[in-house]
Amino acid sequence: MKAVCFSGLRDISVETVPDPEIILPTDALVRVSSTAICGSDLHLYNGYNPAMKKGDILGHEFMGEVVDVGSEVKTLKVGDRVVVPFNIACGACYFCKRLEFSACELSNPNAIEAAMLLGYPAAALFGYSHMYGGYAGGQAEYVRVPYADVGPLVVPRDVPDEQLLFLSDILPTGYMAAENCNMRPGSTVAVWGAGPVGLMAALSAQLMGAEQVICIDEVPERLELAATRCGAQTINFQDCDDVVEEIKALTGGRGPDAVIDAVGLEAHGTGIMELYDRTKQALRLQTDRPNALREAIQACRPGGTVSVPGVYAGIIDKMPFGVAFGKGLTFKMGQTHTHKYMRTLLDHVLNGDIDPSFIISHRIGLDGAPDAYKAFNDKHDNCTKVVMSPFAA
Amino acid sequence: MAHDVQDSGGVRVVSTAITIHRPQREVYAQWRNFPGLPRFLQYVESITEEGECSHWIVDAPGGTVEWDAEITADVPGQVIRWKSVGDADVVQRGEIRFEKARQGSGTEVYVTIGYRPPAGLLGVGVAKMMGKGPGKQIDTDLHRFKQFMEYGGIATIHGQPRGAAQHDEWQEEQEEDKEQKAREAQKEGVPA
Ligand SMILES: NC(=O)c1ccc[n+]([C@@H]2O[C@H](COP(=O)([O-])OP(=O)(O)OC[C@H]3O[C@@H](n4cnc5c(N)ncnc54)[C@H](O)[C@@H]3O)[C@@H](O)[C@H]2O)c1
Ligand SMILES: [Zn+2]
Ligand SMILES: [Zn+2]
Repeated sequence: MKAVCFSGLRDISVETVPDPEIILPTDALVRVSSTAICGSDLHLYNGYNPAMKKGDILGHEFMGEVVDVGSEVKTLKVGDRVVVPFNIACGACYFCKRLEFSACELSNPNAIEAAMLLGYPAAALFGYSHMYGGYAGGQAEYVRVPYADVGPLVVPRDVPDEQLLFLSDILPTGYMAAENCNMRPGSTVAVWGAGPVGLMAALSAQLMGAEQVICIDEVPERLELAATRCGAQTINFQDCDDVVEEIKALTGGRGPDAVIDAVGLEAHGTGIMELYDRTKQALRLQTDRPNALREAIQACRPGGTVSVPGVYAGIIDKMPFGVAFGKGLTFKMGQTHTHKYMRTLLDHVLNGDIDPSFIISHRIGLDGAPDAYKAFNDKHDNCTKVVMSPFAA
Repeated sequence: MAHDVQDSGGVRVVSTAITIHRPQREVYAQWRNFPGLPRFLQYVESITEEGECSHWIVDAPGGTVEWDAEITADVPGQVIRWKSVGDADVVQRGEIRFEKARQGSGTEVYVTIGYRPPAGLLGVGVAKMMGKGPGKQIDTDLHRFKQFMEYGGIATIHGQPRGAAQHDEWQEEQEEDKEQKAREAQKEGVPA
């Protein structure tokens, strides 16, 4: 089959590899109808994950049709149309039982290696390095899905892929980011990053009754989507001297009730702090660039909540922790418990409350992956979200 | 999965702990069924039981090692202790304790193993088997045991497809990078 493979730093190849097979009796095989590139894939692309091996099949946002099931699969059937969550969870362990699926203790065959490096046995993810289990990803024609009765959500046939695909990751991620803000009707929230995750967070905040949503980014077409599709006020941080002051000016001088960092470890910045972070990161004195997070902490009102769906991987520097302490902020963060939110969000999609397909800018086949990774990474060509259809004519 | 390694008089003592989300008696019973253990213990080829004695055959890199072990304590649901007897390739003693978990309804499993690796090539093999970081193999085996107890199977990616590219400079660069990062993290007093 055809698959999108990691071939080194900013090097993506489309290769012909053997078809996947059922390995364990609780596996299913899915024929992929649509698969997307995620902002998280860009962290791999840019070399932030040392546990990637050349030849690893990428991709963790995908959906398709079940074409085979192992002998112990009970509920999933051949022919089912499914969306598959990006985290791999067993459904049986202590954390899965608590619906904290992204902390699954069993799914990672390399759990001990991960624990030795990170201090905890990270749950497995599709297509996201050997630290997270080394499972082949879904940017391919076919994919093996372990724990088949736990992850895949069966979806109706009469709704297009584009409305359903993002149940696999960014829609639940934006939704959990908003939920983590303790959003109430009338709440105010500022969102750093108007990428797919930030836009889904803004949309979810609206759905939860937020009165004011402010989106911060530097990419005009993304801010445009925030304004027109998510009812947000927007700030282009390249056009203003001080993002924090600008936000305070929009929120009665006090700051929003909640702030969301939907940027993560590759944040861009301006001025001296940008130089500081880039230099330190280049010298490996800090692993992540926490620009957006710093601003978010500074902007949040006293007693407010800082929600962090953006991925961080290691050490950050110059955190205004005294400010966070002084204001008594609450921090919520982490990998999304995708399984927990999929059904609720499917209902929202079917009811017509949410149609996330507006973020898609590029529709291609797998062969276009190398160019699409580049465009999405560079924010060129108005690229906001890439969807690949492996079998489209 | 927190292990502690000490050396005393040529004997290496490794202790570790893991929580298993199943009742104490069940976890004990599964472990006490020695002939079934090779399912979880990656390098153990077979264990046969004759009365109070069991015979272990372990496939270490560099050769097979064997020993007879005798149970020195066996309290159902709580603890099993054993020690090697006679002319063992790897002289060892061990203890596995089962306690009711403080979090949830599971079992806290505490393992302590003391062993004296054989000399020569076989010793190198045994050391390798025990993992780069001491105790890694024990943690790996316990994690496999946990998977079996909680889920009924052991996760694997063995046999899945991948692209053609093999181990290369990229890998080596990354390895160096990792070591460098680990050193720096240590310097700053932060876990890598
Ligand atoms: N928590 C989870 O489970 C989860 C799931 C999916 C994605 N993520 C993470 O969410 C983050 C965003 O993902 P995405 O797909 O939207 O990626 P993306 O790269 O498309 O979007 C990031 C956006 O942030 C903007 N940005 C950069 N620096 C900024 C700054 N200083 N202030 C404001 N905006 C800034 C960029 O211009 C870009 O539009 C990534 O870190 C990704 O790994 C997390
Ligand atoms: Zn993702
Ligand atoms: Zn689990």
